Amino acid sequence: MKRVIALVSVLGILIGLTLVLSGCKSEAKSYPSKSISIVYHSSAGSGGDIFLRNLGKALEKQLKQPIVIENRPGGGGATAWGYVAKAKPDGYTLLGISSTIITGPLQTPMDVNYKSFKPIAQVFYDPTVIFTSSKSEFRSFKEIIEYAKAHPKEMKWGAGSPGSAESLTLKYIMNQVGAEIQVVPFEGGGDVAVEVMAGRLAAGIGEYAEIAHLVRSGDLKILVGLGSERIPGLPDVPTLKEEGVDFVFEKVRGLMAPKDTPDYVVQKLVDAIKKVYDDAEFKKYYTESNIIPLFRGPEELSKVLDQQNEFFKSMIGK
Amino acid sequence: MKDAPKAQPGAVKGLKADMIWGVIWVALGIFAILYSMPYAEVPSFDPIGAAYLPRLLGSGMSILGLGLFIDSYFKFRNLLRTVKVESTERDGPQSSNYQGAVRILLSIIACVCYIALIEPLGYILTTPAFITAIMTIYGESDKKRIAAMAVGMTAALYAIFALGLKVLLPPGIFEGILQ
Amino acid sequence: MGLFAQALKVVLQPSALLANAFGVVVGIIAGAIPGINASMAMAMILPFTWGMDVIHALLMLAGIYCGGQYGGAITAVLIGVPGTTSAAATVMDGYMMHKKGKSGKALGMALIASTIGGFVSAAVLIVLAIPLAKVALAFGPAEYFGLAALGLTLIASLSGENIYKGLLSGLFGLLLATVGIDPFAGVSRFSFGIPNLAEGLDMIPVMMGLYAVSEVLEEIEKRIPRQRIDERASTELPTAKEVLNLLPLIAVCSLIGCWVGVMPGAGASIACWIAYNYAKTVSKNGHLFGTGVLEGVAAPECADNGVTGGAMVPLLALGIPGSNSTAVMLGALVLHGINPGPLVFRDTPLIPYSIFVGLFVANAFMFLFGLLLVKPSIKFVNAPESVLYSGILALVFTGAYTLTNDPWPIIVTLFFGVIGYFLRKHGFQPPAIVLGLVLGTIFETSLRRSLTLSNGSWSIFMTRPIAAVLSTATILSLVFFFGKRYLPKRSRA
Repeated sequence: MKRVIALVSVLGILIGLTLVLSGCKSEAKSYPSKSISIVYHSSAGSGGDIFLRNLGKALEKQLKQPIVIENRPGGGGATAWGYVAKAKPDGYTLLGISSTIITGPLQTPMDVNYKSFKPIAQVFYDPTVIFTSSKSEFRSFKEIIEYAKAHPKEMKWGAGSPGSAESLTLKYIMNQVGAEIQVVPFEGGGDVAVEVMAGRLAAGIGEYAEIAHLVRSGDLKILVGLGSERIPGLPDVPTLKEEGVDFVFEKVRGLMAPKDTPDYVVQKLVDAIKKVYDDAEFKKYYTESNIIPLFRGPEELSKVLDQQNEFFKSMIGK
Repeated sequence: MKDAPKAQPGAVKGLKADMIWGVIWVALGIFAILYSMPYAEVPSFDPIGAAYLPRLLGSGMSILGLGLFIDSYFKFRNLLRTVKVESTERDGPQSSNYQGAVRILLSIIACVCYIALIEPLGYILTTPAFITAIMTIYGESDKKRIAAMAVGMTAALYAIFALGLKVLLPPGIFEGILQ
Repeated sequence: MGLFAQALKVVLQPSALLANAFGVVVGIIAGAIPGINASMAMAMILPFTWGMDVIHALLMLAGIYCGGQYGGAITAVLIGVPGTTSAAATVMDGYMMHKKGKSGKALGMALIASTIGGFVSAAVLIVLAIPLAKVALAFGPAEYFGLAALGLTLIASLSGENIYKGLLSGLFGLLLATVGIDPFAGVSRFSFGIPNLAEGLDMIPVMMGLYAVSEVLEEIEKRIPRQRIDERASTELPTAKEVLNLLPLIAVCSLIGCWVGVMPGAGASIACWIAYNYAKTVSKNGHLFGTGVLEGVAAPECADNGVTGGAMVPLLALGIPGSNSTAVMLGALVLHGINPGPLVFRDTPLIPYSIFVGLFVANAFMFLFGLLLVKPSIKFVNAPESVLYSGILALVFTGAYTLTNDPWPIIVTLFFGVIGYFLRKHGFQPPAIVLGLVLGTIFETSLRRSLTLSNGSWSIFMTRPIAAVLSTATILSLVFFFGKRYLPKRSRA
């Protein structure tokens, strides 16, 4: 036992020494001179986390510094956001965002919201779609809405939890077309897909990425997409606008930084992000994962977030 | 305990404690029911609403808490009737109980300090201090063993978590040195 | 059989074996460390599998998945902390066996049961993957409710001497599960204005507090040196006879695990309790469960490895991940341009068949590495008490910290450690609290979801066939328990 303890302590001292020595590299003026962490509000293995890990790997090649994904789940996002808002604005702590950064603070009161951060860029958007079982009698969005109008409160649709982007947009769409349905909340799009396939739900709303493989295998069919344009690879699926509802929703995936991060750091990151789309491995990842590349710089991102914030704010009150 | 064949040592105390627990559970149950009242007003996607389960559980807790109270009260009365316990109960080894309670209290304080200091001071500083504190509170007198454990365990944990699993442990005052 | 031969050839290449073995080692370690679980380890490794051949990547991930299910048992047996939620039921008897000095037997049994569970589920997967896929769709909210209710009946039998205390513990656990944002109304329940509570209570810190910290506090209070060296944890493994006697139970519980695994929304943390409940009900030693019996270790362990094969069914045949771990595997498949679903068996059959064969190999590796680990890990906990208890606290707190990279989970761990200490001291049942917490969320959401689907009618639990079977089993299980408990007394009187 004593030998074990001695061994372990020697090991400990050695590790300690290497760490101290490796840290002594002088800090260069140019950014980035050390590893960058990207903080995310859900745990390792969740959809957004895997996206960031892949993005991080592609960015590493551009910035020539390691990128670490830090998962700080908890508090419905408040833990991660509070941490980054208070972090040193030196560009070494960044925040990965999804649409939760808008809906989260609207649902539960928090000290932070998207305005507590400096926008860097939107990198992708997640297409949101309305889908039904391929065995379903409804062949188009118009058909299903007509049925819903004729049978108020009868149809059951699956969506995310009450405050989620999916639930709120679905509510808005139904208000617009003047139909009444019953929404059954689920934790994720995969669960909704099962219920829709099994015929227990008439239709569902969710991220295209989560159900794309079920569409390809012929189990589900997409009635309508919520984006501004038709989804690449799905030329036959109309957008909501084309179906007569003037509404666009595109889930943001992007990066933000602490408020006082210097502009040259943001610029450097923006330049690097612009280049990652051509990274062969990363390209393979995002095309296979069915997220759509969409670059928006700091000002544009800030505008989009403002719009979405206004929209969800108005929906949550209702 | 010669004239009290059936009474276990501490039985009276245990039953008294159970009666208190009964009251605590009833209180917790009622609290759950009252506190969840506003939840019933919130519109919900489902027919039974957000207050249903807390109310059900609160009621169950109150009923079972009352059951526990009554059950231990009758057991308590029976025990007092059949057995003379007063004198034997008091003779328990008070001092060791007292020391045990002090040790627990000190350990909890050590844990609280650890939680409070882990981020400002950093993992590699607070963890050995915490291990030293717990070992000392436990009554370990071998200084070498404490030192070896404090350093060794911290190093091992740091190696597994920070180096092996790449999780970030709080750097604290070493921020900037450890990257 | 041509496909099998082909798959076998692929899986048995040295590089594939290496990937698989590496995964198993990572999985066992990740599973054994409280706060880290298999799905987290898989997510961290996923980006590194980019450059790999898809089968190698999948074999590595499958290895982590299998290894992780067993790894949790090591800490469950040796320090009473379930390394993963699926090992929560293993603590019950595994830790008691360790306290009696039969650590080797408990760990050995856990390993053997895990391996058999893994083999059985891989075999089931091979035979039934495609037909079972249709069954997976038959599990809707009403069925999940039945499953959760059946699992909750175990609270009654976990009660020990005082039924009030046992039931109260269970209700307390269920109440803890309601903390956080309500999934149907969006209101934040019992969060007292604390943002961290709005997310609900994470199971791991609560379990670590109730099981480990409370126990350490108790030991610090009592300060009784454990038995003399020669009576301490022995590394003796279970005998062949002991294993053979339990084979029927292991077989049934593996199938239970498999079945729960096929249900995409259930998973290993539920399967282990269902199996434990089943074993306790049918065993002759039922009344000894919780005091350190081999059956109590074997049943949950084979069930949680049985889940692995079962969970592959909805993943491969439907493309639906039932858990975080399978979600990461789905990510790996999609990343390599493979679309899980019925078509995968037609278009790229080598992939599912390699996973089938890979699961067998992974389980074999798990057995081998597990066996090598038994002795050193037991030696480790034979350290002096002061070393052991301070070490457990440091490990548990570090593990808790890594859950969110924030001190909050440590606060939760300590809080439930203190509560657990008092509850334990007065005869309440921490395992019943954990059970209530684990099943509470699925119990409530599936209840409310079912009632939404049925427009408020409770008959949904009796009119849907599988739900009806589960509801009946729940009622029978209660009748059986109370009958066993109260009827003999009356007849004797």
